[in-house]
Amino acid sequence: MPQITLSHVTKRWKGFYGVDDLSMVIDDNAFVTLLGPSGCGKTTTLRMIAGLETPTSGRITIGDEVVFDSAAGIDVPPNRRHVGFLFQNYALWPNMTVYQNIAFGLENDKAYTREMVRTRVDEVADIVKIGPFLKRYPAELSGGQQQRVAIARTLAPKPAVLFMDEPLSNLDAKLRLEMRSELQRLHIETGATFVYVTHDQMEAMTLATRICLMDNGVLQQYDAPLDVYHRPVNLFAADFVGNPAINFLNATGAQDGAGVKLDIFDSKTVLFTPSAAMTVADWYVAQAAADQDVAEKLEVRKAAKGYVEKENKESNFRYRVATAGELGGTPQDFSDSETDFVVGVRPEFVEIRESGAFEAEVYSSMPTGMETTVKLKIGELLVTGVIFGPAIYTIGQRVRFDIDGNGIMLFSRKNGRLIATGGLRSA
Amino acid sequence: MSTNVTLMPERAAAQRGDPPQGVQSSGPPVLRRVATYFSKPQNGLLLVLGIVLTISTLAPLVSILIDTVTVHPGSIDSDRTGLMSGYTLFNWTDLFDRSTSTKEKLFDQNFLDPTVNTVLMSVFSCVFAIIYGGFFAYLVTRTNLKFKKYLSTIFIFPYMMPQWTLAVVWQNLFKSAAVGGGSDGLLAAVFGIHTPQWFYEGLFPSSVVLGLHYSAFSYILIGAIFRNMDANLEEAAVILNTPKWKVFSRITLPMITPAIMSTVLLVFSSSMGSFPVPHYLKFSTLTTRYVEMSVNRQGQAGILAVEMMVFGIIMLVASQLTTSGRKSYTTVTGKSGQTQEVNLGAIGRWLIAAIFVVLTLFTSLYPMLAFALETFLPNPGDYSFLTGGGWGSLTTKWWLTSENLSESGMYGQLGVLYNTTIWKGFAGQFWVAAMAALAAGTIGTLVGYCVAKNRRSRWANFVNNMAFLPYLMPSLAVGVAFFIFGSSMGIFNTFLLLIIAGTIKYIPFASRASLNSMLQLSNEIEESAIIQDIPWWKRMLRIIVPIQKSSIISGYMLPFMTALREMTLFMLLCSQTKIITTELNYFDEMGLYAFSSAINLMLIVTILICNAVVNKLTGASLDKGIGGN
Repeated sequence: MPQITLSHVTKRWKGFYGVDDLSMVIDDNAFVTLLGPSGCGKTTTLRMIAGLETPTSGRITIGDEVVFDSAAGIDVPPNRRHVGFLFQNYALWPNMTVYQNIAFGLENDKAYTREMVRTRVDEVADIVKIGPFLKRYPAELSGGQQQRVAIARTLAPKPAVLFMDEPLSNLDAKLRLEMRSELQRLHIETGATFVYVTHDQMEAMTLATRICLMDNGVLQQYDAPLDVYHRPVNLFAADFVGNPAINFLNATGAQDGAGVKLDIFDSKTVLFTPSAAMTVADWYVAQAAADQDVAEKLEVRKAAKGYVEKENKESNFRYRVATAGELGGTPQDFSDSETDFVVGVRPEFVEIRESGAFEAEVYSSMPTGMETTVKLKIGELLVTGVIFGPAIYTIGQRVRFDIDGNGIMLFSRKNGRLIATGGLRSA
Repeated sequence: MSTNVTLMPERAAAQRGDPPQGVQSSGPPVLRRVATYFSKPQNGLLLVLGIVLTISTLAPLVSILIDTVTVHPGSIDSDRTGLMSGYTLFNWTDLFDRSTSTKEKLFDQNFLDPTVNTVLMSVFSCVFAIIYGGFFAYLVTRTNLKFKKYLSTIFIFPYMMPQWTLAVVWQNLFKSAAVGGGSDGLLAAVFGIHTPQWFYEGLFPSSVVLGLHYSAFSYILIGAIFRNMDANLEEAAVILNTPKWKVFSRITLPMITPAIMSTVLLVFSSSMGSFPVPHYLKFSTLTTRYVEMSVNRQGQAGILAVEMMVFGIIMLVASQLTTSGRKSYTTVTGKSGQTQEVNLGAIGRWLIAAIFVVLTLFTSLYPMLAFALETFLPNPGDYSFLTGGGWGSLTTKWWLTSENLSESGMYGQLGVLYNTTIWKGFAGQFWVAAMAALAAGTIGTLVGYCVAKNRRSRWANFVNNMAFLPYLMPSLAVGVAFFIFGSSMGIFNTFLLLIIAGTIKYIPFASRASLNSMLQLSNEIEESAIIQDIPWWKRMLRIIVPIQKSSIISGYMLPFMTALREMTLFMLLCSQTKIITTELNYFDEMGLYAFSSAINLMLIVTILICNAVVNKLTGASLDKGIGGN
């Protein structure tokens, strides 16, 4: 069963790097989602693995077979890669009936007799529950039905690897939820390796065994969903995953014993204690070494023949601090000082209680029954919290709150990377 | 803000429970229903348009039919039956009479041969246009061909130029006096290359010339589908390990079938109705035979016109059948921007481009140069300046002669620049084109609007078909219909008749362009204005027209540009000197070929200038609008 390996895969158009030096391993039977904002290179990556796009350089293997190697001049055409591909807009052939659409791929396989084709079509039609529509044309089906036909067509030849390019984004919200669990079931039933492109972090979180988070053509983090959620490598990853979004709080401070003493909310002093022992100074030293290493590798690449200057340079992710009166928050710049930090607080760590350390005013309150999302105004800053249970708050009400738990993140404001996770308590 | 203020009183009235102003207040239910129906302006408009179009399209058709059984004094039906007026079936019985060998010969000559020739010519033109235009469309949209932009512009030149341009050029290039008599063409005169007769006369050149003319059309239609077609459709098949030929035959080809069908329908009926091309290339088709027979067998010639109409109606039915059905070919664009172009190879992309550059040169620049050259030759086919005479053997007399006494070779005509006949004809053509365009554009746009507003109504469908019918009617047949219609109305040889004929024939251009873009416009855009009680005319002028600007402009422009170079439709409707295109025949008959060349040159230049100006001003262009589905 196939494992997919990408090493140093790059795709560029002139000076624009769609995918920049991507290396990753997709395990057999994994469900990997390529996640990122639009234009980050995730679809290009998928199409390169499938063979629909030719990488500029790098090497791709599927199972034991090298399907692409720029150095060796290997480029196996997509039809020889034995993969399935599910397109975002389904790409059903309008001139064929549902049956013909599903059977088309099987008819190309000489191993299938006419009888076997029929059996197989019926089989997959049953799996995705489109049995009654086999004689219809795609234009006569609803969006959800078309989607199922597309899945059936992809599944029919029993591909060991299945690529999906935002397959659910054309469906309405309810259907999307339904199809999500269908896909999960299919993954188990078929035992195939799924690679799935999406820009919807919720889809990625709920479906994937591993998330590959990309931005501007560069791999940001490749981890299990909950790891990406709890230990995002940088501000971008922290911000992209999670809904409601993470709270970013600017902080200044310095090492204080085993912890870091920080000023947040303008004047409140708190102590951040890392879950694992470490010091900020050591961390910066390690970072410098790593950066040096990366820079050297880049020099090597630049020296190589045919290197083209990257036009779409990585710029520092401009994280936003939520403020009252400004939609989407105020974009923040990085600083040069190693005493500047950003504290990341997931909304579930905000706890409203009488004895809370911070005082705030309820800015908005949105109960769903299962939980309530509140925005708290402290000074000009807004902090979003999710309170479980049927709590009711009135707008303008004054409350006190704490930042609880051991999942608080400390980021460097110098390079935006995660320094440590730990707990926060007022000092 | 101001609209809000003016709306207030009416809103207030409605809230007070006053009966709304308008139609639903009184009368029995039937009347009320009728009144409700007409309270929507598009419904009333549709009714009026439907009635007018039905009459104006059907009346001429019916009048041809009647004409075939009418006695024409001075023609063979009157002569043989002895009747001077009234009705007779003589024309039908005589044309199809095969009782004697003479009659059989006449039947062949007057009916069977022209019919077979016409069908062959039309079929070959279609095949040529689709293969040449379709292949070019594929090259431009799907490969890494060089000079795409230049080629794509130059490729549609033959369509902008008058149809007969290439026919005349072909003749002047390949004609051979040694084989067929008359004067020599350029190849024969200068290089001594004598092509066989089938090569410069008859079926072969006629089909090629018409095919070239309409290949631009198939390029635009098929190219549009290639451009819009979702590349994922093909990729999905490739992933399923489908062989290349199968991807093409089972997926690509079916996708472009609608474009091919509409090309076939148009090219077939247009080729059939073309007079000048078979006329110049001496091929006996229904059109040329009609003109010959109309001299003394007018009624029988009418039967040929009826036959052409029948073909037109068959085409309309065929077009209906191809566009309906369960398969929907709406091209939903996916992430096709990422399609990879087919690599023609380092040499291939240059070589193929070079071949097309040369080919298109012969269908674009060369005709203009050739026409220009002809106007300086002392006699037609006299290329002595190339074979030894030097520049001195050229003459400017065809342009510059300003008196008609000393120059005997010009039959009393003044040079082109001083010739009022030519300039008057030119002005006449312009006037007809402008008026017909104005009428056709306006009516067509309204038809598009009304039909789009009543998508599912049968009546709207009918009106749409009525407006569309002349599109597939061979031009000559429409011309014949209006000739008979105009004669009976006493408006033969007036600009009015030309304008009416032009309007009816060109409404489809405008109605198609407008219907297609109106269908894309969601109803809500207008409904949001209705809710605010904005009157219909204001909705049209302030919302619909501005949004649909470009399609409306092409609705006016296409008829204009087409009428400017129309000969077949008009040639029966007026005396030869009335408009410039029919003057071509006039001068040809006098043997003043230099004048015809000059006129052709002027026409081409005028059209190119108009197209360029309109394109610059509005972004619309002849090549973007035609057919347009």
